[in-house]
Amino acid sequence: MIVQIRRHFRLILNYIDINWKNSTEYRKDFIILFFDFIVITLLSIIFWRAVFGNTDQLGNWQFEELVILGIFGSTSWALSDFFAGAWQLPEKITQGALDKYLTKPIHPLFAAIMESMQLEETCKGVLAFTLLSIVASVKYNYSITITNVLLSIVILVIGVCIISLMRIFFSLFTFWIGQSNGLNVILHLEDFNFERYPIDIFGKYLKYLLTWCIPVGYLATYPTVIFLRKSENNLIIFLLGVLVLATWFIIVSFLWKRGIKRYEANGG
Amino acid sequence: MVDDKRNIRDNFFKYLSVLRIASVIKKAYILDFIGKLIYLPINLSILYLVWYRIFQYMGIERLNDYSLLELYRYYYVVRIVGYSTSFYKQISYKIWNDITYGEISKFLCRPISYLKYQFFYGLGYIRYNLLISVPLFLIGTLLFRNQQLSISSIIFFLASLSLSIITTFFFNTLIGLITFWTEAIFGVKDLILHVGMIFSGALIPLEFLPRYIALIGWLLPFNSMVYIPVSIGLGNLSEITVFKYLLIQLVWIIILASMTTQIWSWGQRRYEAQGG
Repeated sequence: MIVQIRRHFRLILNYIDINWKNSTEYRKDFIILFFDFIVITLLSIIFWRAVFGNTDQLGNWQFEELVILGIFGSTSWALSDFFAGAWQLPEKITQGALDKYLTKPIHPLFAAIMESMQLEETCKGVLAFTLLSIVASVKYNYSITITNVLLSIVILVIGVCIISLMRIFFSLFTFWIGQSNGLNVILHLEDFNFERYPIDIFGKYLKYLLTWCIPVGYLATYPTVIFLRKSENNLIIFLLGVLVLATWFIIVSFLWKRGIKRYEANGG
Repeated sequence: MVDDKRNIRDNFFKYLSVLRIASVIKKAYILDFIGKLIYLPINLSILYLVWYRIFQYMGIERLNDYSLLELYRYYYVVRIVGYSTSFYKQISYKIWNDITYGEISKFLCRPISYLKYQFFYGLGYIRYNLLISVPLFLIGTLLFRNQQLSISSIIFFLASLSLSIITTFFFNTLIGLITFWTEAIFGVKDLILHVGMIFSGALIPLEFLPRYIALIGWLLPFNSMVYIPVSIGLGNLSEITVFKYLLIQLVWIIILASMTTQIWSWGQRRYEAQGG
């Protein structure tokens, strides 16, 4: 088991190395993408500034806190591009491109996802998150601790992994129904901008839904409340996140095992 | 004269076939189509929920002179317009791909225009989006009991929406054609798209923002793509203003189409078909 984990970890490093070379091929584009990330975060801030024209507070949220929520929200989508292969999975299945991975001594799903990572998006997310969170912390003087900052990042990573597993889950339906991008469109959560709003505003039932079923709360709201020390249930939030992640991992593994038996490589 | 007529007819049927091919591809995966069919109603329902909860949570009746219904109606039409033009927003990536991997070579040696091909191919997809978005616009009009919206306003909206679709095509094609001079366009494409969200009123109504942002917006084509069709779709404008807005859209189409044709012509001279 440990040998397997070490081997896969080494493989991830190799994929990162290869993708880094691809990403740095377009250096000017990388710099523009970095500025784009800042604009995306600004969209969220402009939105809340306009809304706060009428009031000082949104429930128990102040404008300064929603700035951090916006930073976490945009970072989450940038980080999720590390698993960009989830979007390309339906095409690989319908075109028979999985053959390449099936003949290698490596888990085919793992290889298919890792091969298509968009490292430049992830890097710009990490860089811009660091810069923006420092600027915001200095400007608004948040009361933060190293432990809380680190824990909020862990929660964010858990959230990104859960959403990526959900995307893989829907992509795997391609084995049964052919092209399944239509289903993925429903999961194109960026369009719904859930991460822009604190999930408290949706009320009790929807808050549960956005924590358990479509856990977008783990992309922005929960990392923000931990970052700003607004929550006393950090451990519960962490354990719940791990539980949801493990559940989705089991579901995806099960579906993959069933789906791969139906693979016909008809496009290959 | 007879030859000219025949040429025009042949050209028409040639590009109509492209449109049909795109439609057949779109229809091939029925569940994929159904997924996209339910996407917009889900999106619009969530939008209402979000604004309803924001108003309730803040305990306010109006937000910058907009009631909940007025604000929702605004975003409703923004989403309708956005969904209708969505295919052409991605066309710059397709053009980048075709130029980078030498795919346009096959168009250069065939009696078919690459740009017209892309336009009609996209139209094959967009017509399905319109099958969903236009009825939803009409349903929204009935549901919100928008008294200001008459039959003529609806016709003006459809005309403005069509012009918005064409403007979106030319604007994004121009971004795609930058590939002839640069290695990648992803950053530029996304940056322009996101900056455009501020100036076009897609993020928040322009009345919420400082006046100079709205003024800058009028100097750029973003308003023609979102703000103008949305304003006409809300039915609050006088007929003279509507005609003025439609004229602005037409002017932007002429400017962008001329630029696209010229840049396409210059770009072909730089094309190297490395991947071809």
